[in-house]
Amino acid sequence: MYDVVETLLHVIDTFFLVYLLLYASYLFISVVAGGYRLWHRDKMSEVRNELKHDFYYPISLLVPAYNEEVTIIQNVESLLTLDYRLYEIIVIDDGSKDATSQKLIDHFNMKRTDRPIRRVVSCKPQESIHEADVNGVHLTVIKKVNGRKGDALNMGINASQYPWFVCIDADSVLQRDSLEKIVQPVLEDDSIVAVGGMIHILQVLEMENGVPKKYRMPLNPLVNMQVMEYERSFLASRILMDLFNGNLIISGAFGLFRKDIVMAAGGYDTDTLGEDMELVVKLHTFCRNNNIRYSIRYEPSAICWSQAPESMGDLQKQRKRWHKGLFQCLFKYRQIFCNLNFGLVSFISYLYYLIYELLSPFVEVAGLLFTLIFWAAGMLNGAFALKFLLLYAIYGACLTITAFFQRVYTLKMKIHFTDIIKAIFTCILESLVLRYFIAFTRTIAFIGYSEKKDQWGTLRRIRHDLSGHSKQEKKNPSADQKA
Amino acid sequence: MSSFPAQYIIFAYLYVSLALLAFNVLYILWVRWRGAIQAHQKRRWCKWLKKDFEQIIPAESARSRRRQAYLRHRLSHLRQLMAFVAAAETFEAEEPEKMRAFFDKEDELFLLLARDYGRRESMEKAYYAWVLGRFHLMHLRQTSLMDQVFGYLVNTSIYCRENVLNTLYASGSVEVVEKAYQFLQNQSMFHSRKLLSDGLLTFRGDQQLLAQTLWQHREWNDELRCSIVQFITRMDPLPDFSASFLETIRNRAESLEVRLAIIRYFARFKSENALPLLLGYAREEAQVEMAIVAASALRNYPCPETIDTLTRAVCSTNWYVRANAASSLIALKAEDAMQAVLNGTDRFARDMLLYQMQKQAQ
Repeated sequence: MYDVVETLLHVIDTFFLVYLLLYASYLFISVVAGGYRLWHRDKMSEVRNELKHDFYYPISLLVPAYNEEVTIIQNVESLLTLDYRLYEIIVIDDGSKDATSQKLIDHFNMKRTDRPIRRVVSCKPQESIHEADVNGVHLTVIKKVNGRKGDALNMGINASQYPWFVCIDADSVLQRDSLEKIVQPVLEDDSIVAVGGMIHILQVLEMENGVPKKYRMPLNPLVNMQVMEYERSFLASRILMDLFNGNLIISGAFGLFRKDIVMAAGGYDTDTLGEDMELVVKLHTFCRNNNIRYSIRYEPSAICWSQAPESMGDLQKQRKRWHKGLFQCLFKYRQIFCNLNFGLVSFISYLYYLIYELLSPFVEVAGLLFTLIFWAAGMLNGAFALKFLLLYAIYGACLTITAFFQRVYTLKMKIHFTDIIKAIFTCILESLVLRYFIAFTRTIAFIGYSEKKDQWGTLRRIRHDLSGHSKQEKKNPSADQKA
Repeated sequence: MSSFPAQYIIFAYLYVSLALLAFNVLYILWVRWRGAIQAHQKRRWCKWLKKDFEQIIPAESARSRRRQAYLRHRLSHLRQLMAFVAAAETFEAEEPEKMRAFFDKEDELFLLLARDYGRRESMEKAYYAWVLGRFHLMHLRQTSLMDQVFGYLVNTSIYCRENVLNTLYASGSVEVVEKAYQFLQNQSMFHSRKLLSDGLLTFRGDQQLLAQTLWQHREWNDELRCSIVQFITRMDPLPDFSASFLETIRNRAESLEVRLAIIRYFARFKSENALPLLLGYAREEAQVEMAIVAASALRNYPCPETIDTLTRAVCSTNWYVRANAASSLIALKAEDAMQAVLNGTDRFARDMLLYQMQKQAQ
């Protein structure tokens, strides 16, 4: 009996060791690769290795909105000031219960039109369409029957007039040069079908006329944790996956897509919570199955600022939704799992998301439980376990701080000393406390899955005054979005 | 716990990460100081250039080996070259003739530097190509300098290629640009047609001659040929390539992209000989892309046949043909035809025309 227990202990011990080492190695390689590429690109722009043009390709900006009356005007106004010659803005009001559409119609003096929509990808019908030309940019607001974000984006795709479209969240803000930067890779490579942008947290930003002026991390540790998390993901992991055309996700907050390919692939899925990831994986599958030469790139200098949840409750809702969406997507495209036809997309990207994103919360929680059990049974070298945990936490914090500093290559703003202190403190807090809380949240995401699998939840929207003060608006009173 | 020394691997990763972190911190400090260092280097070059301008140096002395060796040694360092460029830009604004005279005097130096930078990595080559274009040094027309710069096109990044092409456009030499395009064709290099056509428009020589010379090459790939047609279409004044383009577009073996680009040319350049073709394309739903573009191009050809064709096209099964045909009918102010569509039985045609009219009214 004792031998059995010892063997079991050995197996569990080995499993967690290999698991941690592989993850540590992955993080290490991604931070190094990310750092090198960002440094190289910064040097390139310094020595005139760039494509500067007045005009690239016409783009349709698609802004799906549901109960966004708090932020929609600010968002659209920021989109109207972009440094880009030819683009249009299409706001798709997905059956909002508040005054999202009306605010836009009144503010921009829009007129109702009877625009025929060519419905190539399926979507729920429109109820009304309003249009206006504002500062030389054509603005369209389509109010439609609720069908969720994917459905709203499909409506936007059907209504768009240009060969490329950018999807952007209604609470996000672009910099003046964001469109120019996200479209540049298309000039370099004619096989590109999608480009992902870099997402930063909006709450840290002061902006003037579309140009970031100041960057200060707030006191809220939850927001800071998300800042560090995004830096680690966008300034490291995605760059690594970009090296072998292996990115499985382009953030729904800011991504550029080739319309004809997306239409041919069927557009956005309307019954998944992770429609942004689903589309990208769909593109991988569609292009490989149809022998289409393709490339999905990530452009770190194309920056979008997006709001992050500020309360624990909102953060939990968001993470549960992300986790459910991740599961739906990985399950739907399980054909990619260990499939030679998909190459490194299968053997690195898919496996990474499966093992270190989907299953990791369960592994981490199980690890904690086993540690406690074996410690209680007197079979654990407590001192060593504690030291290893601390070492791993410090290592994780160090990598995250490194990724945080890599922002200097994309954000040309001063890093304040207090921000560095906050970053270090946040990394330690995340490594020792918050990551386990998030892991537990993701673990319980599947409770009640069959009843709630399609629900987005309600998040508090705060209109962030880009001149430097945050103003809290009323909580979104609407009910959850349902299928 | 396992006896496997996992903690040593973590320590190793930790040390390298700390090194990377230290590098990033040092880089931040370097970026802060870089501006000041560059400003200092620029001031030094400004002083040197001012001294150089004030001294009256005979031609033989200007080419003295020591002076050239000194300049070559300094400017072969990228940072020094960047500082020199900053200083040259300042003098170009203040004393353009003297700066020009300096460049004319130092043609051999820039040839030597072209060889030096030709042996460097792509990034530095691209910068040097940019410098040559920025100060129009290719007008010196030294064959050897051209050959050096052509070498920059081989096994290099798109940024380097773009900078080299921009430099060649700035030279004003038709033969050189033709040779560059032939090189791209031979090497099967991808270069976006957008970049190519935009670049051609910056050509400082005889653009008409350039267009004629480049268009002769029917054997070139679609990307190059489309870019040439797009360049011609955007020239001002618009040249007459109608005969040649008509011959090309009638050739059904010709690529679709080139034929579409030519239709767009005829949207700008009105040619009576092109009208029957455009009418035919707008009616022919089998090649829907041609119909879409032709329906738009026909707005520049007001005549009863056009109105008739567009009235039928607005009832097309293809959404884009309907949209363009409706828009063209409005542009042609074909009131009777529009009324017929509005009173007709085709709901889709009516909806499209109504929408286009609303759009026009806005």
